[in-house]
Amino acid sequence: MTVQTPIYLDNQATTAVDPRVLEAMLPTFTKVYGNAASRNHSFGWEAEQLVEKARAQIASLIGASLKEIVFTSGATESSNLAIKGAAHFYREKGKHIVTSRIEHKATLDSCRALEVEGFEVTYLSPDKEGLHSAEQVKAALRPDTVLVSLMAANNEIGTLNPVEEIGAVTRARGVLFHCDAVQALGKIPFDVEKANVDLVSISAHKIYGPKGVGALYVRRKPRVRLTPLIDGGGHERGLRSGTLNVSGIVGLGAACEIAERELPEESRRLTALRDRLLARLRAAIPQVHLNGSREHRLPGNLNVSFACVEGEAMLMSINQEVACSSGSACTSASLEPSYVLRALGVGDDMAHSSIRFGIGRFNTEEEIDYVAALVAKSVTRLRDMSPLWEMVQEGVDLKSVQWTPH
Amino acid sequence: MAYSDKVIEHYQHPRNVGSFDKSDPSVGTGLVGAPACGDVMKLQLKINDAGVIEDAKFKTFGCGSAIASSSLVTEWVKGKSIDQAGTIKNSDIAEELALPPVKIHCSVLAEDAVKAAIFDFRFKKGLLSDIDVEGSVPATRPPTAEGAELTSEDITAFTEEAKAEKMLTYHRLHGRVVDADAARLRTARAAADQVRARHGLALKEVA
Repeated sequence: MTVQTPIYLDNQATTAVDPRVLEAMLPTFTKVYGNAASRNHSFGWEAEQLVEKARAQIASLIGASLKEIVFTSGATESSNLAIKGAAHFYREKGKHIVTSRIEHKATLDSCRALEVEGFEVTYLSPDKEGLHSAEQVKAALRPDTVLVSLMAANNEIGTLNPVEEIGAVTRARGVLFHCDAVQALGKIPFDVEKANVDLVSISAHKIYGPKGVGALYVRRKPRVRLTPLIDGGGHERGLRSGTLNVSGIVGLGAACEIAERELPEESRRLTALRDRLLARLRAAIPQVHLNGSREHRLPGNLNVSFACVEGEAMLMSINQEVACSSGSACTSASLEPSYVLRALGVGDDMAHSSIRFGIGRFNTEEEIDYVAALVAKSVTRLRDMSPLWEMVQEGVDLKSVQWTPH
Repeated sequence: MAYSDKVIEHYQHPRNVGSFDKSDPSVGTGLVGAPACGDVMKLQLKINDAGVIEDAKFKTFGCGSAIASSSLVTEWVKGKSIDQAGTIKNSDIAEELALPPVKIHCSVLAEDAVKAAIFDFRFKKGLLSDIDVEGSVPATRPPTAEGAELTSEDITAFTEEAKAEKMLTYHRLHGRVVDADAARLRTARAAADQVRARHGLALKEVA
């Protein structure tokens, strides 16, 4: 069996548009190109019909109602709108927000911006697998807490938070719960009623839809109010002004419909591929450390550290044939290793050695086997030229060495 | 990160990967960097009696630029005297490999590795002055003290202990042990052990 290279294994960064999604989008460019806000002609009415169909498709996937879906330019905007919008609207009620050190930057930086304005933020530390417990959230709540923002699934390590248990705590205390469900959506079951969430960030391009479009779920019962970020023509019931991105919205809707229909089967398949990749790597080479939780994990996410091999060097040796990412400092502009892995207490050396494989809808078993063999070969080559690996083989405890940090 | 062709070439076909016996008196070993920083280089030079580098080997944990920088210096140092090799500048390495600004530290590490290997050779051969030996000891935070809140006085105590230790080792290696060295280490160790006791760390002195 031959495989086509390069193989795309970075599906937590973004995904290819599913051909069925593209098919649904195409008419919006040249046929149904009206402005969905044009109320006086058929071009506008048809565009609006498509938008409302997409709204229904999204609502159906998460168990919401039509009026609870607000379209945005993507999940970064959704999280900004949810966090800043809720904080600003309810600022008289309280000034305290609870989130986690391993949230997405869209959440963390929205919280930082609010801190500058005088809000107080508690950043929860995850356990060593990246998990937060409902008890931990409960203990962090104060009388003036207005919002808890925690993700459903982590984008780097794939760890799943106990969203339903956290939602039960926030609901009981009358605190709003914003959940960044970007990675979880369409990959694991997610229902806004079961989870008791009030605000949910959604992205199209992580679920085989187009880039540049997303949505925010905003609960109606009990009603959640937000101060908008963008003012203008009053679109989306005043929460997000701006002409609707009909093409993108149709793509998001189609992607949600496919995800809902295929979720059980796809989830099983991706979990099997993920476990196969880890098993093959471990059979071929020693000291492959899994980052995150084995049990509470996103189906398509595998994040591992290959001891004594630097992540960027690793990617460089395989990037002609496979695309994935690393938590190494050398792959970031800041020269700091992954803040997520550091928050787990993984250790800077292991963070530098981490690789994230993001398995998606279009990957095959043959590709997984090919990647496992290729990666094992590269790790072996790099370990042969690693002074650390040599020291470990000689029985040196790397932690006992007096290093010269620079 | 877009790399230059030279970096890619060295990365794909690194020169002189491997190790010499580090106990061989004609081999100087430099180990620089830290795993926590994401790069560690080990550079070894085989040096003849005339002080000429006959062979060089390296092993590097680090990104493509770090591997390429160390591979390149092993080529450059061969056939040079240790004095000539000691003048290799990181800027020359960075220029040759067209390293982007965020990767300059890789070339700095390669320069440091050459200097550390030469130092190790001179240490073994007894070619260093006492001032050189003392001066080579950096501010010391013992790995066992990880997590402890050390004051600058604590670090001074650990550094003084490391200096005394290194001086004694150096003099002993070259048959120049003086009682003063042993006395200095005893005093320094007692001071360092007081710091260890204060931070609940295991003591070094086995009375």
